[in-house]
Amino acid sequence: MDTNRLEKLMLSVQKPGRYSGGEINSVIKDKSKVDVRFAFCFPDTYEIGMSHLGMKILYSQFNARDDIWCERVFAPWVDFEEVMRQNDIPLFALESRDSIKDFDIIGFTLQYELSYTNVLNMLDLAGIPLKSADRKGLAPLVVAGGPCACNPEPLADFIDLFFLGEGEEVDLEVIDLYKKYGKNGDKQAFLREAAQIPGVYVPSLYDIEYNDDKTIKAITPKDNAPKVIQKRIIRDMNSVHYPDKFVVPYIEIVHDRAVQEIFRGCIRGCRFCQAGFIYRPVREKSPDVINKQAKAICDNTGYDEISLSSLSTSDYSQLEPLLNDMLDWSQKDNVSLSLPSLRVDNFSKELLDKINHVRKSGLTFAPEAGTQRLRDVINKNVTEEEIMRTCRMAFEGGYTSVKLYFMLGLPTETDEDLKGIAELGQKIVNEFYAMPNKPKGKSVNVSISVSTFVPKPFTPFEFEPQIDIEEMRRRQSVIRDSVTTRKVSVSWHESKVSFLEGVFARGDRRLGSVIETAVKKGCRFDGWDECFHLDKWIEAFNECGIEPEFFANRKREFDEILPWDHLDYGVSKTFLINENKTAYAAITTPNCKERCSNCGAACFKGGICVEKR
Amino acid sequence: MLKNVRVFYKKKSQLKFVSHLDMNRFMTRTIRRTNIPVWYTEGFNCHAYITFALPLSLGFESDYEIMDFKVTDDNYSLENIKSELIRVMPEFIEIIDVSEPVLKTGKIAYAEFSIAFEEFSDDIKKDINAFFSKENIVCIKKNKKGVDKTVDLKPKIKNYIIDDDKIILTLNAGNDNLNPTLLLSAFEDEFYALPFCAITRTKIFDEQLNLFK
Repeated sequence: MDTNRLEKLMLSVQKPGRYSGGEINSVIKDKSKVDVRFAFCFPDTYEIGMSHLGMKILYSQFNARDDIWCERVFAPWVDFEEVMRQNDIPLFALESRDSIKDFDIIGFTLQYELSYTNVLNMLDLAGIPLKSADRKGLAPLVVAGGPCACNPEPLADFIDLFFLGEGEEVDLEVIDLYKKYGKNGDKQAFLREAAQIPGVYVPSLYDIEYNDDKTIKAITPKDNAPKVIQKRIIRDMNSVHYPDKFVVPYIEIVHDRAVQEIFRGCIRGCRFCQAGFIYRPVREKSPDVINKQAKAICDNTGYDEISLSSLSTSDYSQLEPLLNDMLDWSQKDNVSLSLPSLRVDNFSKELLDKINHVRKSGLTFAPEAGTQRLRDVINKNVTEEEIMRTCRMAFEGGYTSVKLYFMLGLPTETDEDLKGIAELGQKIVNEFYAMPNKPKGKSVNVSISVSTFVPKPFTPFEFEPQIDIEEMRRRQSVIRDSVTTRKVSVSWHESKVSFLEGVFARGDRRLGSVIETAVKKGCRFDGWDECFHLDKWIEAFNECGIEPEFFANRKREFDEILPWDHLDYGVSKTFLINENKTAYAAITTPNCKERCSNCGAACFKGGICVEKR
Repeated sequence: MLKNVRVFYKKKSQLKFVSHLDMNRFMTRTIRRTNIPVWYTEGFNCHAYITFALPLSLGFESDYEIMDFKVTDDNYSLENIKSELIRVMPEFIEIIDVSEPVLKTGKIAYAEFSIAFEEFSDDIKKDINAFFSKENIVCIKKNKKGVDKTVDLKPKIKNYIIDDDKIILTLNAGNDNLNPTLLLSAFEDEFYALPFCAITRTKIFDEQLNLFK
C-alpha cells in the first residue's frame, strides 16, 4: 500500500497510533519466504485487542514457525473506517500494511457477542464476501475461535470453521492441513477433512431442522462430520508455548502491562459464569515456570507492572511461594505485581502486604448478589462475614475505597435481594467508621457496579429466561432507591446492550440474516454505548421476521434441543440440569478442590481431575 | 553520584503518530530494557525520571529531539549509554548523541521547522510570502478558559525562508511558543486551503540562535 497516502489519511483521524504498526517486538517477515499468511483479527479497537492475552500467545506461537507469518488486524474506529471507505483503502494488517483479502487464513477471536457486527464489518472492509458459501476458493479461509465459539451458531453462515476450546494445538493442525491443500485447493474437500480434526467445527456440514414452535427439531451432520464435536484443551500447562516477549504498543491500551497466565479453568462453578464451565478442568502452571516466564516478559518489554492472570487468582494453590519468588526480582527492578480476580474468602493479610509492596491500586471484589440466599442460588459461596472481614482488612491496610461487582436479574431474585446490595454497601461503610484507628480526615468510598445477568450456554442457567428491559430498569431503580448514603456510589450497565447480548449468547443460525441486516444499517461497535442503536437492531429483527425475545426472554425446557447441543465442552447437560435444580433449592455445590461433583470435564484427563486433591 | 544525561535523537516515520504523552511512556519502557542505571523518583509512585526538553506535536517528525535523565552511577560512561540506547530503540528513533547537558531547558528560545508541501506552486509561494511580510499576523486563539483571544503571531516569527519545495521557519519556542500549524491555519483562514504538508522540527536554538545543547 502507498505509505505516504495512508499516513496522510491517518493524520486526519483520532489516535493514528492505532493504525501505524511498527511497535517493538512486532514481527516482520519476508512474505516471499512464508507459506501461510495469517491475519489475526480482533473485532474491536486496537486498545482493547492489544490487551488480550490469547492473541499474544497465538501471535507468538504462529510466528515461531518459519513457514507462517501471523499479523495483527483490529477494527478501525468509525472515523478511520469512514476515511478508508472514502479512499478505497481495504482493511490491512498492521505489520505489512497489505490488504488481508490476499491472505491465506483470516482468524477472528470471539470474546463477546457484541463484537459480531464488527466481524462482518471487517470482512466487508476487506472486500471479502461475507457468506462462507459465497467464498468459493480455499483462500482466504475464514476461521474463528474464543469463548463465544461455544455457541457460534449466529455466525454459522459467515465463518468457514470454528476452533472449540484452546487453540495452541488445533490451530496449527488446521494450518498444516491448509498447507497440504494449498491456496488453490478444493475448499469443500478441505472442510470435510478439517471436520475430522478434533476440536474443529465446520457449521456448513450440519443441517438444522426446526419444530413449528421455532425450537430446534434436529441437528444432523453430513459428509461424515462427527455427530458431536469436543473442545480441545492443553493438558500440560508447563510445556505449552508462552511468549517471552509481547508487542509493546506506543499508545496507551486498556491493560497496559505485562500479563502472566498462572492457570486455566476455575474450581468454583458459580452457576452464572460461563468461563467457570467452558474452561474446565483447572490446570495450573508451576511457580518456577511462572516466575521464569514473568521475568522474561518484563525484561523484554520494559513494562513496570505485571498482572498474574487467571479466572480467580487467589485460588492458585501456591500463591504465597510464587509471590515470594517474584518479589525477589520485581522489587529490585521496580516492577509492581497486580492480582486481578481476588476472592473475599481466601484473601489474607499477607497477600495484601505483598501486593502493597510496590504500588497501591484499588481493591475490587465480586459478591455478585446482595443476600446470602441468592449467593447460595448462584453458588458464589462467599459469606457476608468474609466480605466484611476482607473490607476491614483492606481498610486497616490503608485502603479507603473498595469496588464491588453485583449482578441484577439473577434467577429467583426478589426485591429483597436488590435491597440487600444497598444494605451490604452501607454495612461496609459502617465497618470503615467502626475502625478505632481509622485515618483522620479521610472518607470512605464504596462503588457498586451492577451489571445485568445474561444467561449463557454451558451454564446451569442456560435454560433460564432473561428479564426484559423494562424489568431491568425497574430493578435498577429498586437498588438506587435503597441507597441512602453518598459514600456508596452505584453504576449500571446499559440494559439495552445486555438484552442484545442475551439474544446472541443463546441464539441460533437464523440470527445470521439479522446481523447482516444490522451491519448494512450501520451497526458496529455495539459494545460501545456511543455506537449502540437498539432501534436499528429492532428494524433488522423486524425485517428478518425474527423475534429477539424468543432467544433472550424464553424459558427452555430441560429436554429442548439447544443450538449448541452438538458441541461438547466436557461438562455434561445432565450435570447442568442437576445444578439448575440445586440452584432453585438454594443448595451450594462444593468446589473442585473440596470434592469432585462429576461434571464430566474429567473426560479430558487433565489438571485437577487427575491430580491429588 | 547522580549524573545528568542529555540524549539527542531523531524521531521519524511511524513514530510521528506517537503523542508527547505516549512518547514519555514509550521512552520509560524502552530505557527499562537497557542496563543503564537510571535514577528513579523516590515517592509513592516511583518511576524513572525522564524529561523532554520541548514537546513535539502529533504528526511531526523531528531531526533534533532532546530527552534528559539522571544516572545513579557516574562511572557509567556516556558511550555505554549511547550504545545501550541504540541496542533497544526501534528503527524510527536514531540516537544522534549523548552528552551532559550544557544549558537548562528553560534557555530554549527558538525552534526551526521544515514545512514540505506536496505541491508547492509559484502562486502559493507568492501568497505565503505576502502573508509573512505583513506587519501583523492576527489570529484568534482560544485560551485555557475557552475564551477567544486575539494574538499577533508576527513577533513570534524569528525568520522564514521560502525554498523550492518547502518553507523553513524559525519560531519562538519554549515560553511564548508558536506552533507552525497555527501559523498555517491563520494563512488558510485568510487565503485558501493549503496542500498537504509534512512538518519536521529540524533544530532547537538558544537565545543567541546557537544550537541548543
